[in-house]
Amino acid sequence: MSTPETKRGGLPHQPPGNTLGKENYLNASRGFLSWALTLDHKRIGLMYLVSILTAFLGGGLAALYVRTELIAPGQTLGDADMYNQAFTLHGAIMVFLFIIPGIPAALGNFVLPLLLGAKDVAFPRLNLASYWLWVCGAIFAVISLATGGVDTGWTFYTPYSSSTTTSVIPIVTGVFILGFSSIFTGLNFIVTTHKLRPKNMGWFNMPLVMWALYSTAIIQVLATPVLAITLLLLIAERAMGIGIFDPALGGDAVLFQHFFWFYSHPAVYIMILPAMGIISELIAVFSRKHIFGYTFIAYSSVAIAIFGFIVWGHHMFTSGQSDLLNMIFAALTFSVSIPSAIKIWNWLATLYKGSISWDTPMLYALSFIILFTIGGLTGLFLGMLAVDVFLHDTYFVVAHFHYVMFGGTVIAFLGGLFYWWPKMTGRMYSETSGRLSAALIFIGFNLTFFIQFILGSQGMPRRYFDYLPRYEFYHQVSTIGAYITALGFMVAAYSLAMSLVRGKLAPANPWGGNSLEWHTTSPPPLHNFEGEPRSDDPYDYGDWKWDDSVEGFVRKDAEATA
Amino acid sequence: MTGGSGPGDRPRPVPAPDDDPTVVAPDGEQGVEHPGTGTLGVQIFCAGLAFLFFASLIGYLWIRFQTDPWPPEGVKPLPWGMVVSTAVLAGCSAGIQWALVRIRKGDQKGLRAGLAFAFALAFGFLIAQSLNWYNWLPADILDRRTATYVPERNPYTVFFVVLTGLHALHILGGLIPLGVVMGNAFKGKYTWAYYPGVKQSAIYWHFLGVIWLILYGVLFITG
Repeated sequence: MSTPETKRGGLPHQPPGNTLGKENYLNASRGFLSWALTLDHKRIGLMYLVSILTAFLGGGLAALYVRTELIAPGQTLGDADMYNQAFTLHGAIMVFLFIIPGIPAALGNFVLPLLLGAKDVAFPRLNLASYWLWVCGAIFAVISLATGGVDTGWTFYTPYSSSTTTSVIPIVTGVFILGFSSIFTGLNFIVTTHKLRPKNMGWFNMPLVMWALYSTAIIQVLATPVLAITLLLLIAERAMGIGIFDPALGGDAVLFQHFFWFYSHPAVYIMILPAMGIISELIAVFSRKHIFGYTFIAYSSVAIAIFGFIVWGHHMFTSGQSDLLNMIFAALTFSVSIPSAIKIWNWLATLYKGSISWDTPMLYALSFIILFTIGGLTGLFLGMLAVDVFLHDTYFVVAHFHYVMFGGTVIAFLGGLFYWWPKMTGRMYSETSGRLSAALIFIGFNLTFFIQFILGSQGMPRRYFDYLPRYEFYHQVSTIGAYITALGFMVAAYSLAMSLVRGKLAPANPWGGNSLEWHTTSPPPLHNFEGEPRSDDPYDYGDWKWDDSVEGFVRKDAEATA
Repeated sequence: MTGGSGPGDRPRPVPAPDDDPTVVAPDGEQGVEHPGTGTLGVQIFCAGLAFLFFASLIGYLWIRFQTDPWPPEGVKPLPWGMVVSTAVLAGCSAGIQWALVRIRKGDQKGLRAGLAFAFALAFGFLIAQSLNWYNWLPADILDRRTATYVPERNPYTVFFVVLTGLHALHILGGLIPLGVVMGNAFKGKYTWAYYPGVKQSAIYWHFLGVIWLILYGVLFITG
């Protein structure tokens, strides 16, 4: 049913704690420039969210092109060059424009100062700069597309990338600029975490998503500069024709791989750590039970960040590097799985004897646990030298990284989006459509990618436009799955969009969480809190009880937040 | 940087005796809501830059020890002008350090002199480096790639340009905040208890100086 704005000062059926129609950060100022030049982290987060989801749509359409092309052997939609450009575009957009900025930029920016009870991040202008740098990077990607596209794969391996006539320099420049966006966001989050915590919030009283964002930020600041120099040298090589990476000119192609993966492996931990942080929040809140093993989960985030720097060689097992180096990287790769496993066990222990609510964010969180486990375990297959020699550059790898990046990060992103949506917009989405989206995406995703493990172990190489007829059935199943997944995303988008038009007005605390963002109104005021919020244990839910009249949780001791 | 107020807004403090460190806030940010924020920011920034630099150095060393002969034919030895630019950069660091030491004692004149000296020398470094580039690099370094291999265009010159060029870009970029800090100093914004911009400048410029020493040293030794 619609909820028309009657007059300023409130809406009908408005629970206390909801500020739509009253003063909040969304209506604090008006006009294009008040958004484009905003210093409010919440507005910056929203702008990022819209931009990043637009990029996701672009990358997703490229994925649908790839999957449609592969539904039958030989040419289906276009020729081999088109196909190469499509999977390059899919990879580059998804990695650099969507998933690396992803959770920190679109959700972290909104929520991090709220979690700390702070008014904003440490450097609000730097935050705005990060956003506009993202936009510049996106513009360069579009320029590359418009000037002939790129067909090197998102990994830009030399010598092909240093000699091909496709539009490499614009896209590499775009990625270079995006790197700055990432570095500045990381710097901002690190300093905010160190300096803007309230007096009574020690490091071990922070919500775990803070530990996740902090560890991610460290990787962003330290690893991304290595990508910068890699891309700079690639541009120099293309522009000036000297041999750094090109063997024909006296360079070393494996050097490019070392440089590239020294960044890109830690980058995958930039992708997954914030996702794991969100899952810690969701599992605890929707089990109404204190997170199990807080200290272990906190330290495991830091451990993943550190270990992530020393395993890059596992992308290069077949590159011709020495056996000794291969063995060292394989051993280290196995050890990097341990902190992730620690988290999974702690989440399961949190669920055990919890009081589970099956709301949409929880469905996504449970999906994460299943899908990330599969993705993580299959990473061990790939980390084993003897097996990787067979599986490298096959669909097994494609399935593995989609399970961790999509089944992991994207699923957690959606869970976090539905979770914080009431806080960001003051609206509740419909649980029916939300749950439907979770189910469709789970089913579609598994249909698309589980069969690719089989495809890969049967020998189908990745990035191939054409294939033998014996693989056709697997590809057909996978493509059907892709379309079901796309439908799931449309249902999710519908659910969230409809909430803005017809959604119930959200209370301050619809889920009963105790981290500080739930101690303020939905949506929050411009300066986040009225007065100084006092933080206690963010996982102690005992102070909140369900109130039917509010359709949310209210504090047992005090009046509900006005 | 966190905001602050002019000298008229706080009672003028008595300069602290040198052996009593508890009187002055550690980062020179007394009375600020979140002291040390900007300083930590600059330190983290330098950590990232350190990774950039060491990665670049490894790239250079890898190629250098894989290429035979080295230096490639047609390449002149490093110009002695780089010793001059090293001295200029050292002077710049000294200037900022002088400014920092003086403002801790409340000496506004010393602060301004130190910052102006540092700014001028940073500019001088860029000029000295431009001359070094002009003298050392072959004339056609920026020609588009040709079908035939040109001896002057080789990994040594490219790495030289990339490494010293990146360093110079950070010097150039650093002139902007240094100019802002200098402007603030001349407006009397800093006091003996509040000088975050000066401290942050010192961290950044000393860092650039150390990077330069390592860079020049490595190029000199392996050249």
